[in-house]
Amino acid sequence: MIREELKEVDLGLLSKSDGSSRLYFRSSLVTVSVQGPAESRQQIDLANEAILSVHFCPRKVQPSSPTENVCVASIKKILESVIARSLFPRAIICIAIHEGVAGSCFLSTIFNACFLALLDAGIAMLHSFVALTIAIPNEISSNKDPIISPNKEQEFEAESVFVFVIEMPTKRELFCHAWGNFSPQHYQQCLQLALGEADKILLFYRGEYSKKLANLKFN
Amino acid sequence: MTAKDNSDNPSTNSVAIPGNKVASLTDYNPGPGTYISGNSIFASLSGFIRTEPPIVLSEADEVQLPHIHIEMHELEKKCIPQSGSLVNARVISINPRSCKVSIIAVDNTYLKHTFRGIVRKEDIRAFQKDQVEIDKCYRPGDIIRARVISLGEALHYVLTTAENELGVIFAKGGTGVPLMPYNWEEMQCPKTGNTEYRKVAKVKEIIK
Repeated sequence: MIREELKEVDLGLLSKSDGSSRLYFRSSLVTVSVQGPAESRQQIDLANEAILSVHFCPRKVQPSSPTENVCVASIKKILESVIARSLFPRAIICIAIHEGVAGSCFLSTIFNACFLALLDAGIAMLHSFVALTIAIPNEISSNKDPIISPNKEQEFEAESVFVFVIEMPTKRELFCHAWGNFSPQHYQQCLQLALGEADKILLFYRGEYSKKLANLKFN
Repeated sequence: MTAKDNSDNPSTNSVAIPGNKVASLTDYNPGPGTYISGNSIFASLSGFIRTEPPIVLSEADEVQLPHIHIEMHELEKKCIPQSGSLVNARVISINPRSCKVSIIAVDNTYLKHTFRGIVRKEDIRAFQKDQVEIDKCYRPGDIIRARVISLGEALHYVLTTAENELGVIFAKGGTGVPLMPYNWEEMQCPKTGNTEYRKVAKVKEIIK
């Protein structure tokens, strides 16, 4: 299923960054660049762990909306819990997320692109994580089953949409962003679906990273 | 290939990504790039899984477990200076009390992002600390080998060169020609024969 929706994935495309990735999934295109760990030249630095700095660069230069700020703060919180920051005291890790196309499954594409960029940068992490978007169709549509990775039309017409971030391989739910009308049963149903699909996405990550390792020469 | 195929019998050359269980604590000792959770060893870095046999010094020693670690490519290694690590640094500026350096390598790993350090006058050498003249030890542009004492207070790592093996490993003279070590406190220009004062490191091996 991933191959059908995935149009482009690139690792290490930016030569000046420590790690970078570009992910074109469904109709969303995101480029993520990771710099660090580098010396923190800010006034505030943590003596026992690294600071994480996450910047979101929208395509159109405009004041950021509250939703955007909430999403960026969520991304930062999740990455802070995943990256082994205690290995890099008094350092800073900068992550820049560039919006290419904000289509369907945009938030989950951002999370997956961030993880691929961190893999490419070789920054130590405690866990992997995968992100998925699941939509529950409205009452009018003929198909009542939840849709994994909906397209733009399906996402717009859906009764509710869930974005799950699953910690792997423990398969714990790290984050959920949902909108629309849904019941606890809908939520549980979509969560179980997400847990089932998470393995495929992780397998895909390993495949992409293995391709990159195959091109590198080891001593 | 599933996400859990490296669980108990890790095969060398298999790829691990962070969070993968690579071995059990009863079978292997954890090495760089891994961490322990419960009774299992997990990968914290992405790379190839490598195992090493245990070092047995004599037959009377207890049975040691083999080591397991994650091998990363040289270009991807991330390390920052830590207390006690050997660093290579370029001297940026000097003043009568200290010299500021830019750390360019840590433990033979070249850094993509430099860190700032400081070598105080009293940390340059181990004897006659009060009679040290910094301009006779280091000059801007010199590459020195130093050891990190501490993370420091104001964004500078505090370094020391108060050992025989620490000090200037590369310097250029007034003519721009690299200087050759003459003795522990002088370096000589091979072109003009002039000597310049430096605190020279006692390098054990000559790299050809």
